[in-house]
Amino acid sequence: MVTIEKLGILLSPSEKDFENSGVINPGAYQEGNTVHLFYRAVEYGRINTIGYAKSEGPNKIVERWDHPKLSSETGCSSCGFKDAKIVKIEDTYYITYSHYNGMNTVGTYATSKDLITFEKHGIITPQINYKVYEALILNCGKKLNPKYHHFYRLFREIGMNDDDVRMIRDKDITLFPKKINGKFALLHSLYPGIQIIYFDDFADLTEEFWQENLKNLIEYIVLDPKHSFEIDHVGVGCSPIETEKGWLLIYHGVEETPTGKVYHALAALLQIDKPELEIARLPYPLFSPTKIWEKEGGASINYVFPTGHSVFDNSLYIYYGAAKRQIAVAKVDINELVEELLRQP
Amino acid sequence: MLNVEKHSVILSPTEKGFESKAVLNPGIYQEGTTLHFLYRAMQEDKPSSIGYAKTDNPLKITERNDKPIITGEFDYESHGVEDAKIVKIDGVYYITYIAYDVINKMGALATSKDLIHFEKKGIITPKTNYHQFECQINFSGKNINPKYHFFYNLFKEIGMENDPIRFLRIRALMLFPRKINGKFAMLLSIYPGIQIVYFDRFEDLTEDFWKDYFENFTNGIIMDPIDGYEVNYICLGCVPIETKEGWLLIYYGVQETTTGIRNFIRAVVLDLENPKMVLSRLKCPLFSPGKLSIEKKQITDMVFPTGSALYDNDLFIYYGISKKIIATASVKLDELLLELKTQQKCKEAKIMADLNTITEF
Repeated sequence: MVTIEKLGILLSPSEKDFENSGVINPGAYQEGNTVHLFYRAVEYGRINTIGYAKSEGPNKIVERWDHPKLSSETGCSSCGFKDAKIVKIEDTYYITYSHYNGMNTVGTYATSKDLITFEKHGIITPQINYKVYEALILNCGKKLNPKYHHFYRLFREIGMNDDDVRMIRDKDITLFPKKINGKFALLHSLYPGIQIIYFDDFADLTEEFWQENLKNLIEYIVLDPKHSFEIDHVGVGCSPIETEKGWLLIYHGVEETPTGKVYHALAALLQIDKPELEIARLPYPLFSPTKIWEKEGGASINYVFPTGHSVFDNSLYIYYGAAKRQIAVAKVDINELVEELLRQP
Repeated sequence: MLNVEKHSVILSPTEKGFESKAVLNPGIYQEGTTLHFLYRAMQEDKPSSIGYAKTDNPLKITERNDKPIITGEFDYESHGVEDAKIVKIDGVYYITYIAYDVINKMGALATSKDLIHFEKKGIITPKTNYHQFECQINFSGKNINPKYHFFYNLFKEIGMENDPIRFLRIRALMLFPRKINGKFAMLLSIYPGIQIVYFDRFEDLTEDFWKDYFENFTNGIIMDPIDGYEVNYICLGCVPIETKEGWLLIYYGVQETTTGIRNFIRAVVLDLENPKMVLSRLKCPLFSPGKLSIEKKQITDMVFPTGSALYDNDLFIYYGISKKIIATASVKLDELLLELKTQQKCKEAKIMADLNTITEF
């Protein structure tokens, strides 16, 4: 077993309107001793925005903005920006995040040269409905995990699979922190798994690109559910962490229980030059909701949702949303974790 | 383990158009040794209808209609009539079934004096959308299983929770075979559990009635998922069988797996005069798919128990397999009731379903 140390709550909702209901799921970007946290800020009954805080060292907040760093114009309840992930490739910061408009959750991104000013770009996840999606993935044949058909069937049953405005749900878009074989590599989560795409330019992510990709989706699956604690589905996760033994991926897995779903933080190791190949995954959760502040409050219970990380010496600090209300930190020895992963058969 | 004997397939699709794709989920009414089967019949890309078959022994059909006896005639059942359950109370057959209109699955009623002519009575389950349902069950208190919010949350996520034509989904419904304390008693499957509702007349099932029911919903819930065999949800089921120990209810539990869902057939005994009271819930499944060999192929798919018959001490359970054919399995009633009392032979599944230890039954 790997030793995990839970360091407790790092950020809680504040009295500021934009984050008075919840602060969760932070993306993190580390520069030396400084960690930039871009977190999801939830206003009670209103929109989600992205707030900003800065930490010196792994968990000492030295700055926190009193207004959102990034926000959208959409005004509906629980609409807005969610779950930002930040990487820096060459001299540009890329912030990938979800945008929810009251109907669909889509993946989009912004770029920045300085983390002060941002240029927002368009939608990069597939804009197709479930009927079109189903026709494409049927090309993958019977080896594709049948759960990839789940939402098509669900939408069909309620007469919505051919809807013009309700698109497939693609979440958790997360870039690798550097190009792989000269290409951007992006993780995304179509239920129930985690998939990867490679591309030269964001402008390449057209409808035609996704059609080709979905026809061959099975080749791009990084992880599908395997263990009981991730039996419902898996999703990204922190931006992958490069180690000598492979990419360390901290992701989340969802367990089904008689009284609802339980979100766990999990770990896997992926091959460096071909991360769609799994080297190993932990046969037990890295950590689970056990503390009162991980089990109650907000809209959901039993929720740990890792989205950001930093590394100080050999310690990996994982930032995660807890009980859909606050942000907490857990610490693990990165070498110990990788060794444990390599011990798995 | 209880000794459950699986018999052969008793109804398969035929070349007749209305049932050329599948036959499944039979409701059964037993009169002496005669069994009336009202089964769901499917043809490709067409609405389901209800077919009819008859037998005087539990294992072989002796008579079968060549056209459906109930079809979708009205808007509320335009895309199919499914999963009929039959009881006879005071000389009248009550057939409850699921009506599908391509958006909603709701419970409907037909009555008959002879099982030949049917009089449709319309939708009898609530036309409550998920926004209303959510408000009403929130009123009923915090003790409710959080899964009752699942479909509201799903519909809300796609901006549909307040759609005026999209109603609470009813997975199954059935009447008890007699009135209880002078009232009709009806079982419902609203995800993720099994509920009961009492009423004097079907006309009483108004919007206000259902509002009041859901505002006190915890009083109506009989059972919710409890263990690893039914971690996802539970659903009806055969019409309850009256025994000396109580109402024997055969239902199924659905388990999430890494590649989809699978289900287990389960049994529970409810108090005769107050069936809201669970007397004993069988800890292990009665059986699951996996050991039945059809045309030399091992079928490992879903099983949906929907009808039963009693011949002396042999309880026959009829179920749809793989949404395609109908088979039966039997168990000794006294053994089953004894096991329900003593719970000696089977073990509980862990809450966190271990795929390696839960195999098949």
